[in-house]
Amino acid sequence: MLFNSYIFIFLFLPICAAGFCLLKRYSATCAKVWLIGFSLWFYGYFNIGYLAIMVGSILFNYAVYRLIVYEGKRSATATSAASGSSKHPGRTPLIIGILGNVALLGYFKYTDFLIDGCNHIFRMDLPLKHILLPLGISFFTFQQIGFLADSYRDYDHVSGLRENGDTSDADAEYDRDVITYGFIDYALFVSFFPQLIAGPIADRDSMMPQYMSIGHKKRIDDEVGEDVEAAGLPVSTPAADTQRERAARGIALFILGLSKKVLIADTFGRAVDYSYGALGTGVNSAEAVLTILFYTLQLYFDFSGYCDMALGLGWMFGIDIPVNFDSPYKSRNIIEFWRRWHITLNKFLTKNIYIPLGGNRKGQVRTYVNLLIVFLISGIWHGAGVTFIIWGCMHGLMVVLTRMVMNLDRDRHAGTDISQDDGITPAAASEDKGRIGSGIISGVITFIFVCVAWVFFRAPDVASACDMLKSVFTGGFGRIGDGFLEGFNSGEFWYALKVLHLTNFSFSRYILMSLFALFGITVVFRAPNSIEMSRTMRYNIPRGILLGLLFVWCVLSLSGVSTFLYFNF
Amino acid sequence: MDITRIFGRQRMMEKQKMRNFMIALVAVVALGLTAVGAAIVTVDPFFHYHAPLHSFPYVVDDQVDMNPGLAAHMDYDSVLLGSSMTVAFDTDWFMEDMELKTQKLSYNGAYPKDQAIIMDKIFKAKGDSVKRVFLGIDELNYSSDTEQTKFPPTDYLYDDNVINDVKYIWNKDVLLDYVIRPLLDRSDASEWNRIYKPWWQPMHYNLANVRLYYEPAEEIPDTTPLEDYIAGIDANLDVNIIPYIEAHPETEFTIFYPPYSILYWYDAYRQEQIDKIVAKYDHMTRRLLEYDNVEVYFFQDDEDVICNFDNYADHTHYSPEVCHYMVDCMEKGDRRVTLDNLDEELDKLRTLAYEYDYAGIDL
Repeated sequence: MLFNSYIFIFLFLPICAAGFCLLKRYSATCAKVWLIGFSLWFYGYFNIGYLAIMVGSILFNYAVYRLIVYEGKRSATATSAASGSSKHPGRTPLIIGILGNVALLGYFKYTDFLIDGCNHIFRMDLPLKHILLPLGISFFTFQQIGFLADSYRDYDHVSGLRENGDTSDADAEYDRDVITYGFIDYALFVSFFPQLIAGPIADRDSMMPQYMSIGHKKRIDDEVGEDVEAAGLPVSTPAADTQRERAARGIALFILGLSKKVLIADTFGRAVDYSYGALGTGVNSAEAVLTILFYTLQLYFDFSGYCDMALGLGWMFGIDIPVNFDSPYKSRNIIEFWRRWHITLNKFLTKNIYIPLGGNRKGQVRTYVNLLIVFLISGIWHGAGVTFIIWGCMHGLMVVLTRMVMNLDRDRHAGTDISQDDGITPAAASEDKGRIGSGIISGVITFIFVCVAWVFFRAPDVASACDMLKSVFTGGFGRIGDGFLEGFNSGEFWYALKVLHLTNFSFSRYILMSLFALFGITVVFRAPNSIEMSRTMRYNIPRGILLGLLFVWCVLSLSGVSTFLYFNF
Repeated sequence: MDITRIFGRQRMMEKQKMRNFMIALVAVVALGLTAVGAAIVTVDPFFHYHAPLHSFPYVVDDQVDMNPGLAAHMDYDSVLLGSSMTVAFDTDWFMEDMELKTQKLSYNGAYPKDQAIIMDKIFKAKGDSVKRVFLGIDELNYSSDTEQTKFPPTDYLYDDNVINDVKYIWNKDVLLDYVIRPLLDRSDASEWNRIYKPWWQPMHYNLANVRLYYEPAEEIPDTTPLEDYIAGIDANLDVNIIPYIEAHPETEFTIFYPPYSILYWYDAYRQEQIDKIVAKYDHMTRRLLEYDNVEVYFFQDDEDVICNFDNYADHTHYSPEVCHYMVDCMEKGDRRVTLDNLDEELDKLRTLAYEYDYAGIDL
C-alpha cells in the first residue's frame, strides 16, 4: 500500500485513526494491537509473502533481545563471574542477531548481485535467482539491529561500571535507564506503518517511550509529561499542542508531503525517465544537464515528501517520528549535506559502525579510513549494484577531502577543530562561519558534486551513468525534445497558458518546464521546509481552504502509476 | 486580568482557529471531490456508466479506455474490430450499404486477446442482438501468446468493481482533457462515424509518404518452423476467437484480411517468409470456414489495391477509399473466399509475392 493511493487515504487511514483514537481511551494494549494489525495489513498489501518475512524478523529479533536482557540481568545482579557476572553480557546474542539480520538482508537483496559478480569476474554461468525483494527490508532490518545494539550497550555499560567498582552508579543506571520492553511495544516499534517501508530509521530511545506512553493522557502547558512521568517512563518529546492540534498539523504536513511527491517529484521523474530511456539514441548537452538537475530535485521531493507524510501520519497518532531531511541542498559543504540528508541513516551509521570502528579516536588516518568504510557500507545498503558502491565511495572521498581541507584551515580560523567531534558529520563543519567550506562558492560546488553523484544513483548501470555525464560535454547543442518536455505540459497548466495567450510562441513549449525548474530550485534553496512550515504556520480558514484545494489537486493526480524511489532499499 | 487568564483566552482563540482551519479544509475537500466526481459521472467521457449526452462535444481518442464503455452503452447491432487497419473506416458506410448500425471498436496493434476482451464486453452488453461482427485479422499477431495484449486493460474500466471507479471519477486527466477541455474548445470533438481516424490527410497517401516511413527488412531468413506458427494460430483461435463464434451462431462473423501494400510482401520475400505466410492464411482460413456463421474476405492479393501506392500512407496503412471499397465488396460478396476458391486465391497471392517487380519500385 502506498501513502499516495486512494485506498490508503480514504479507507485505511480514517479507519485506523478512528479505531486508534477510540481504543486508546479504554485500553492502551488494544490500541497498540490495533496499530500493529493495520501496519501488518499495510505491509502485506504489497505481497502477502512479505508479511511472513517481517513477522519472522520481528519474532527472531525479539527473541534475541530477550536473550540480551536475560544475560544482562543475570550479569547485573551477579556478584562474581562464577555466579553469572560477565564482562560483555549479551554479546553473543547480539552477534547472532546482527548476523541473522544481515543474512536476511543479504539473501534478499544481494544474492543476485553476488551471483552476477561471480559470473563476470570468474567467467561462470550461474543462473540468477530473481529473488523478489521485500519492500523496506533495509529499513526494518537496520532499525532492529539498532535496537539490539542499543539494548546491548545498556547492559554492557552497566556491566562496565560494575567491573570498575562503580557499583552504586551501576545500580542507579540500571534502575533508571534499563527497561525491558514488552513484545507489543517492540512489534509496534518495528512495524509502525508510517515509517515501515522507507524510513526514517527510528532509534529505540526516541520511539519506545512514545509507544509505551500510548493511552496515557498528555496535557498541555504546565502538565506536559506529568502523567508520563507518573508512569515511571522517560519523558517523551513534550507536546506544546493538544493531540488534536498536533493531528491538525500532521494533516497539514501530510498534504504538503503528498504534494511534493505527486505534483512535483513525479513531474520531474517523467522527464528523467524519458532521458535515461533515450540514452541509446542520444541525449544532447542541454537535456543531459537538465536531466541531472531534475533527478536531483526529483529525488529530494520524492524522498522528503515521503518522510513528510510519515511524520505527518505520526503526528496524527501522537507519535513524533524523527526528522530525516533538513533542507539538504542548502548545505555549504558535503559534511553539512550529510547532517541534513537522510539524518537517521547518518545517526545509525555513526552509532553502530563509525564509533565501534574507533571513530576519530585512533588518529587522523584511521578516522579517514573509518569514514570511507562507513560510506562504502552506505552505498551498499542503498542498492545491490556497482553504481551504488561508486556513489557511496564518491561521497566518502568527498567527506574525507573536505575534512582534510577543513583541518588544514583550522589554524587560520579560530574555530572548532572538527576532528574533535566524534561523528561522521561534525556540527562545526556547518556552524562555523568564515572557515573554508562555509561560503556560497562551497555551497555551489557541493550542490554540483551531489548532482553528479546522483547520476550513479539513478543510472541502471555504470555505462549509462558515464554516458549521461559524457553527454553533458559531448551531446552537442540541440533543442530539447518533445518527449522530455511532455511530462511538464500537464492539463491544468495548459489552461493557464491558453488564458494568457502564451501557447502560440516558439518558446511556449519551454515555459512550463522552466517554471517547474524555477519553483523546484527556489524551494530547495530558499524556502522553509515543510516541517518548519507545518510547525510554525498559522492555522486559519484561508490556509484551510488552500490546503484543502491542494489536497483535492493531489487526489485528482493519483491515478497515474507511481512508486517511491526508496522503496526497494 | 491576570496572566493566566490572558494566556487561557489566547489558547482558546488558537484552538478555535485550529478548529476553523480543519472545518474549512474538510469542507473544501468534500465539496471539491464531490463536484469533480459529479462532473465526471454526469458527462462520463469514457461511457463507463451511460451513453453519451447529446449535446456534449466528446473527444473519442483513447481506444483502451473508451472501447469497453462504447461496447456497453452505444446503440449498435454490428461491430468493427481489428487493429489500426480498421481505424480509417467510416461506420456510416455500413449503414448505407448493409443497413447495419456499426460501432468501431479498434485497438491499434491488437492481439487476439484484445479482440477476446472486447468481444466479452460486446456480447455481455448486447447478447444475441449483435447481427454482425466485422473482424480484421492480422496474421502476424496470431502466433503470439494467447494472453498477450497490446496494452494492459485499464482495470477500473474493464471490471465490475465499483470501488475502484474512484480512479476514474477522481482523475485529473479525465476531468481536464475530456470534460473541461472539450467544453472550452469544441473544434476537437470527434465525429461518431469516424472515431479513432488516423491523422493522415488525403495528401499523405502516396509513394513519397510511404518512402518516408519504409525501410526494407534485413535479408535474414526466418528460421521459425512453420509448425510453431501454426500452433500459435491454433491456440489463439481456440482461446480467443472461436469460442465467440460457437457461442453466438446467430451472429455473422465477417473476417477480412487487410490489404497490406506490396512492400509488405517485399519484406516477406527478403526474409523467405512468403510460403509460411501463405500457409498460415491457408490454415487459419480453413479453420474459420468450418463454421456456418463465418465468412472470409481476402484482399491480400488485390493487385489494383496493393500495388497502387496512392492508396497508402505507409507500407501497410491504406486510405479511407480502400476501406470503403472493402465495405462495398463485403456487401456484394466480392473477394470472398470459400473452400472452393481458397487454393486459387492463395496461389495467386504466392505468385504475386514471388514475381512482382520489386526492383521497379522507386524507393
